[in-house]
Amino acid sequence: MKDEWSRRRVLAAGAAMACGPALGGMWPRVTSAGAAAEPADLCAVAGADPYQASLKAIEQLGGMGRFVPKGATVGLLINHQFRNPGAHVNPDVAAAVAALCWESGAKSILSLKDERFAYWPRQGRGAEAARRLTACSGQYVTVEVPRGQALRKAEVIKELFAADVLINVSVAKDHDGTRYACVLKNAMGALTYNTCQFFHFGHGKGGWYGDVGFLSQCVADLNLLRTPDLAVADATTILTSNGPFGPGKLAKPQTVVAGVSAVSADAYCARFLGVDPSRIAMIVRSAALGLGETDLSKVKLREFSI
Amino acid sequence: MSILSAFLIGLGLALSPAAAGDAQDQAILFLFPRPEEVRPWVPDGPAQLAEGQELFALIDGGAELFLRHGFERAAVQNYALERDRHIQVEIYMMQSMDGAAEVFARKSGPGELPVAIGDGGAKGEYYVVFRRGRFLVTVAAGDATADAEAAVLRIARAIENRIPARCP
Repeated sequence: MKDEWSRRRVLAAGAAMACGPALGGMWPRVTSAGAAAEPADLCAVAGADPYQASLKAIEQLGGMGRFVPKGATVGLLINHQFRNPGAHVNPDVAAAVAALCWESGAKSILSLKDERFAYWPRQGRGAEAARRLTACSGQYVTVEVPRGQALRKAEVIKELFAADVLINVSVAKDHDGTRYACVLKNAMGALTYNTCQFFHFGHGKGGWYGDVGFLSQCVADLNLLRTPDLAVADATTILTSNGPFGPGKLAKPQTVVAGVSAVSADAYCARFLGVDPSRIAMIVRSAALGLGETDLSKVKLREFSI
Repeated sequence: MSILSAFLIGLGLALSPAAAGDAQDQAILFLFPRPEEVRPWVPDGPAQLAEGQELFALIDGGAELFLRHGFERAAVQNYALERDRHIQVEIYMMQSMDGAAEVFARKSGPGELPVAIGDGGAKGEYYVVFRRGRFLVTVAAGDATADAEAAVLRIARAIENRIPARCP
């Protein structure tokens, strides 16, 4: 994987050596950990350790402090419903995100979706951070979706609006209906089953995937309702067939992606499934609503291997 | 007598009339292996059951494939070893053999190895999927280690043996 940031650091260091005395403090400050003064908006980190890769990816966005101010209430929406390998977020990724939120001074972290199985690590890195999460109430509220084109009303978990900061932590994987699912689609985790059914059947044509365009527009509209402040996409081990539930074939890109835009994060991660993001309706429709950029040449992107 | 009740009796399980209704709902549970067949793996919590549209609550979008081909009911049981290892077993009862065959055809693809189990079986890196009669079964480990792979096959065989050759 291209190590763009390393290249930039070398260039910056070289330029600083040449011009530093004259320019004083104008050069980007590079800390011992490698963080720069100018944060990226999307960062992909490949590495064998998902926890470290997650830390590195968020660090390159400017650190969790960019998203979580002291005293903030954080809502974590984690895709941890399905147990089969590659169908859920690696717990190390979610635990790293939670640990960083605490380090940034979060007052509380609300888990917006209850896990269905013993998901969190019981010991080791991130275990304590996970233990301190507050379970969601299980209470839902009905809200209007003001700019929604297909979705006008939704029943969403109450805490989605109680949180000052929303972090969507998802896994890139195959999807039987939409071909690809990750951050944007994971927003459906905050909904009641009734509203999810509307996504699938609200078009009136019949069939769970009878109108993928309608489903995709609903997903886009939903992301309009509460856009995540931070999107974290796990592409360490991913399901490439029989998604979203599995079991199925696995690929191991060993990569964690973090970004300020769910659209850009999804546009990036589509490559892991071998799909063109311009052919994934929910990505295209979300971009059309102004939720993010799909042209990654316009995004401050960094890629690393660690 | 319902075919499922007959099926239970076929497994040597006597039923009181009062229990017959519940038993019909839960007959599928008797297809899970006995504890001694899965050791050292142990059941991790009770099995989850779903009938008809309830399958969406159990496996979300994965339900569409089954419902499209005549899904009747399902049971999911997890098994654990030590703290962090698990095997998930899903048994789906379809309305017909054809339905099970259709789902099997979708769930097994190129890259999986055929396995001589039931009326058709396939093996992936960490899982086995097979059909027998109108049942479709997946057994999936959380990792692809050799002992998990062996346990997956052992559990699959145990379930295969508990589905009667002329299943209801």
